[in-house]
Amino acid sequence: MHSTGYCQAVEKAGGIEVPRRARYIRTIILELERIQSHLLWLGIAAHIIGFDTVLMQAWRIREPVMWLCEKITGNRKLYGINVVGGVRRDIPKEMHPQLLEVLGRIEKETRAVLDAVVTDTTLLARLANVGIVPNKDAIAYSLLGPTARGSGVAIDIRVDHPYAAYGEVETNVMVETSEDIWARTVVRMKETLDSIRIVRDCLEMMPEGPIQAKIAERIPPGLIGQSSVEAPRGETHHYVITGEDNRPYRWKARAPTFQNLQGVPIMVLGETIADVPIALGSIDPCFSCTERLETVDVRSGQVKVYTKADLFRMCKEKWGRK
Amino acid sequence: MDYSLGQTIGLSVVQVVVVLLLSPLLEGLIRKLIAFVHSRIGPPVYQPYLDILKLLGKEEIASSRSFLFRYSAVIALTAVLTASLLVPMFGKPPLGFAGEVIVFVYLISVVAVMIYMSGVTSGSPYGLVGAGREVMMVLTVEPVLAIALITAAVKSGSMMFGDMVAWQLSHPPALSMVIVGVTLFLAIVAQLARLPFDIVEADQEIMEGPFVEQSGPKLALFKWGFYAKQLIFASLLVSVFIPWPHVGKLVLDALITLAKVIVLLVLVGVVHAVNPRLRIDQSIQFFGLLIFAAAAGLAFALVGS
Repeated sequence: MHSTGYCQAVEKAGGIEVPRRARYIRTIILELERIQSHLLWLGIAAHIIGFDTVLMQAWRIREPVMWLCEKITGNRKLYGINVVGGVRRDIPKEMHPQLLEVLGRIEKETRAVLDAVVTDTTLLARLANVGIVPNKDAIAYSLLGPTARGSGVAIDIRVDHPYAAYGEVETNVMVETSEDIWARTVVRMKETLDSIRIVRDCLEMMPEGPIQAKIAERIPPGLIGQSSVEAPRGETHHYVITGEDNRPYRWKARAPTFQNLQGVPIMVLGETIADVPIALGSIDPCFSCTERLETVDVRSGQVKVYTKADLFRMCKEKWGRK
Repeated sequence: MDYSLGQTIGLSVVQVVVVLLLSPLLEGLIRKLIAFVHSRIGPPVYQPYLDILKLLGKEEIASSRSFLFRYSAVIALTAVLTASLLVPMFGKPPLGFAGEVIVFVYLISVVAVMIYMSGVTSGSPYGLVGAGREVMMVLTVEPVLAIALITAAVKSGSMMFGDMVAWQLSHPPALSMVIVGVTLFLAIVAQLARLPFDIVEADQEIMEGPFVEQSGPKLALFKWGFYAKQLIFASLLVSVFIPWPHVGKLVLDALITLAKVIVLLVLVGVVHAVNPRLRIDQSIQFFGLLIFAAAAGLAFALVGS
């Protein structure tokens, strides 16, 4: 997902046209990643409220998705399939029946779990009307992805700024308006099923052709490229300035968690301790993606934000390394 | 039929040993069942024995110098084992005396108080939150237990478990007993800290609450107390509220009771596996209604049905 973002940014900077077949393969991988990410989230969210049966079942269903990814790319995660100008591996026609069979099985099992989850009244009692982010706050705090869509904000990079094959394959924006954790759950569940359909459509519509573009020996330095990708957690942006020797001069990636974390204080305001973990969990946080450390002096209310250089210096001081 | 002093002591020792040795096995069975629902292989059935052995062999670490923090586990386990002497598991309980029902309810409260004390004295904020939750749970769950036992006492006209069983065996099932039996089952799920009432510990929210600082032998004793409580409550429910079939042969009856206990704990395990954790306010609401249901059962008993 990030590799797609980076490659697209470089391709934009260098004006490289990616072959259609490669764009379809990218779409398939992105959607498979969305399926396994949402199933992983469902399991963790269920675990947070003590529902370990859903955790185990969701992760059991997730396993064949990882298997599919391994079949296509050679890796269960961190697929390493993208290169600037296309993809490294093709999905040959002979593989299709096997993929479709696994997809069918995943869809059936996912539907079964989702039906069980949707009709569970105890689960509804824990998730409905809890962790509410009103629509206007979701817009004001620029919440992203399923967190925003659960509050009735219809944003989805796949539809708003199509990339890969999303301009050609039907893509639906799943919006719920109940603004609570339940809405975020339903959004993710609907997206999971929609992703399975998108993968199927892509396999069907995939055109023949090369999977990598012919690239000039060097991409000239000083070019600027920006691309946005709808990650399972929300939109991800990559900004690249090309440099000498086919290396990036500057590269900035923005993951959605830092943005979504801003919504958590609104969610937990006035709620009990029991609701805090699941409210935080409902944005599907990735703390390593937030790359920001700040300390608040409770007495004076002073806020200090540490930069990377600060952290580096403190680390050196503490451990006495040069 | 009253036991002589020698018989009482002998039977007491046997019952305590049976409870201590058998209860981890039942816990192992429940874990296996939950693993089955999870599509997991699960730990071996004897895993709880290994857990207890391992914890007993660990060093003693205390986060607090409080007397109650150090000895709450011992007192809790002692209370559970004493309570086990009052419950008719295999025929008449070893320690039968008038008013034993009241003593039983108090002994079970002692366990709750010790859990509370362990939380309060642990010096951890999680422990405090857990202790607060424990109090709220006890205040709503124990009335259900008490009302259920009072109903049985009203029906049988005796405050002794032995007489209740005898009354149940000599009479057809009564509506009031069925109602309080069901409410008692739900109270037991909460008493055993099983989902959806696993609120006091709630490891994802408050990291085991009152037990957050408990470790080593102390934790082993708390765990053992919980396992024993499982067996005691299950055998209380099956022997007082579902005493049939009763053949009159000690060994056969004991086996039948054990089978019924396992069936009941399987039910508890299934309830545990198919529910997420409730919030404490939702649980209070639930048990508030349940108290009314149990009271309705008691009212039925008072008018004679």
